Amino acid sequence: MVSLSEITSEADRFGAELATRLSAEDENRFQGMPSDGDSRAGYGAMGDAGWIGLHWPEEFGGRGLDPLLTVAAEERFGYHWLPLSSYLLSVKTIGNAMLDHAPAELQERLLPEIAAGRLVFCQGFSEPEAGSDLAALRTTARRDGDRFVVSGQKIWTSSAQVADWIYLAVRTDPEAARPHRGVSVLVAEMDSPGIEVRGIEVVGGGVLNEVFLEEVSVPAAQLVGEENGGWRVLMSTLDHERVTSEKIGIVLRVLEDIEAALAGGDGASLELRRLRGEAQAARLLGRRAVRLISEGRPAAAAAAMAKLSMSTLAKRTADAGTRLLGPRALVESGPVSIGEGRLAGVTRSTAGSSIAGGASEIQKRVIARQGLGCAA
Amino acid sequence: MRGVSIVAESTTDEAAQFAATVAALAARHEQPDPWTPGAAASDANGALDEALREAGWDELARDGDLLPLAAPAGSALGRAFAPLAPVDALLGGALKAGRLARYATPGAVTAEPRSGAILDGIAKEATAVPYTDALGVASVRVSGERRLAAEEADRRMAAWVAASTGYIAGLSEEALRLAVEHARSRRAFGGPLSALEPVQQMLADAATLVDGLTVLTADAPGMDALAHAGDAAERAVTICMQVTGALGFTMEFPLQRAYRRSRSTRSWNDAVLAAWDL
Repeated sequence: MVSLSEITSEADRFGAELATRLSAEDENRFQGMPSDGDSRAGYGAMGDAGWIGLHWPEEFGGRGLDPLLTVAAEERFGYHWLPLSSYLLSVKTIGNAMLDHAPAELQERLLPEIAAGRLVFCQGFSEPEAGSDLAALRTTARRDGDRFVVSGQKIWTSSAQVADWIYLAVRTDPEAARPHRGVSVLVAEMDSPGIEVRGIEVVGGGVLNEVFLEEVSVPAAQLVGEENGGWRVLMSTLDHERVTSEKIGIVLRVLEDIEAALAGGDGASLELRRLRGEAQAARLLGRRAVRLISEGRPAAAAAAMAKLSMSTLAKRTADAGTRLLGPRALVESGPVSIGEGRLAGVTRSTAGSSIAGGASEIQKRVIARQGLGCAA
Repeated sequence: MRGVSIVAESTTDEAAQFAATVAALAARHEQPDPWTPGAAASDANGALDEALREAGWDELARDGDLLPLAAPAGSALGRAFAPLAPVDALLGGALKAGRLARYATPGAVTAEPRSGAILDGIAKEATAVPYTDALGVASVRVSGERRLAAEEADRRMAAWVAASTGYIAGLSEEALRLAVEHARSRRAFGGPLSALEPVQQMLADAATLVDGLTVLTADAPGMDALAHAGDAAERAVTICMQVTGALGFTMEFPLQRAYRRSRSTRSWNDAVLAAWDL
């Protein structure tokens, strides 16, 4: 049995060492938050060192550990500012969802490659006219024998510029009585003919992407879950995505940066205590959600609370840093900056953290309706 | 969704058992709130204090192994809107912050956390002051102050911090319960209040804050957790007040007690933490 403290110190050693190795990589220089940063080298190193799929079965390249140990390690990866976008999409979100919902053949083909750090996924959910209202998605997948033909457009797709595969929410039955009944999930190779990617620069640093799909042929064997039963798969995928444990580490790191820069300033200790306490609460809400997910119990409201508490905390941390440190807070790099620019970066990035992965207003709707019994 | 274990089961069981005892005693010895606007009131409840002592309450501050029981026990008191005097007893006397002390009467022992220590004293004078909460707040003059041994001070402080955090969590849980119950039963615009999107959004915010305190209570909360708890409870209870409309503003509906107590505990706890860190 590996203990929580053992995995934490192992993850610390690995994270510190990899962060030093990657610091030479200029591409992530002004990427505001590690959760948005991408590095194939970093992702590969995580796979090589056995950090991908800690709780996955050994047959898929995992280590069969408790999922709570996985989120503890992810927290430390955030703390050490590792570029994590590929990991969060391929492992934490899509990999975990495929473990629950993909057919055995697909699991055997893809999960070991992910665990090895060789295969990067991106996630094609949002569309130009379907974001928070995901059930309005229009990208169609027409059944044609033993394949689907997919046409449409995805947007705000993180990591599409580096991804090998895409996890797609598509409409397979345009005639379904209710829009979410006609939805399915497919996985497709990004070098399939008919897929084109275009980058959109964002204030956090780096890019999000548009993904254009034109008559893309996808084998029917690459269906995840039931045909037209994709809504359940999507919701379960979002439960995984919404436990943003890496952001606990990010916030704790920035709080240390702020504290170091203040060197015992007046009245700051209470504010820093408050934020550290809020981080503890967010961490525990995340662990509760992970526990529920792993036990196969309803987890949507718990996961939404984890997500909401975390994005609120990230914003409040950035706000406190600016309030306590003044203009210095926004210096992006160099000796005057706070934590080598981490505070400035987080200040930029947190504008998106209450939107990405489901807007806070959607989290609240889920909490009210599924957690508090408020009628629709 | 509530009550999902994240700590060792044995501790959880023992803590839950003791918390259930505390809840039962708080219910058995419940008294009406003596507070009215502008009054100098105290909800001190000798019968409850005595019953808690008999149940082993004081051990929480003496035996470090019992620390995991303090927050769930505090939570049981908070949920009942019970007096805070038993929580302060863990500190060793009437909690003093600057010139004010709560539950202070002439001749009482006072305890003031300051600069990482606890100063014990005797209230030579204690003049009750009108206060927004029935905490028996008095303006005190203290004599014979002495610094508690560090080990004992740390143990008492840890128990007080955990119980205070739990108290705030329990108080917030009850406030949320009242607000959700109101929203689900009160009808407006042809349906329950809880069907209205703005109401759902507000309640979800409150519930996330309150659940955060609930999970902290099960995890032996320390000073950082307490600092957050005051702030979170204040935000959550404010939302609950808004959701219950004019009803929440009345003296007869219990939510106003949570409103006042969330304010008062926050101000006291922040003062204690700031003084401790000086």
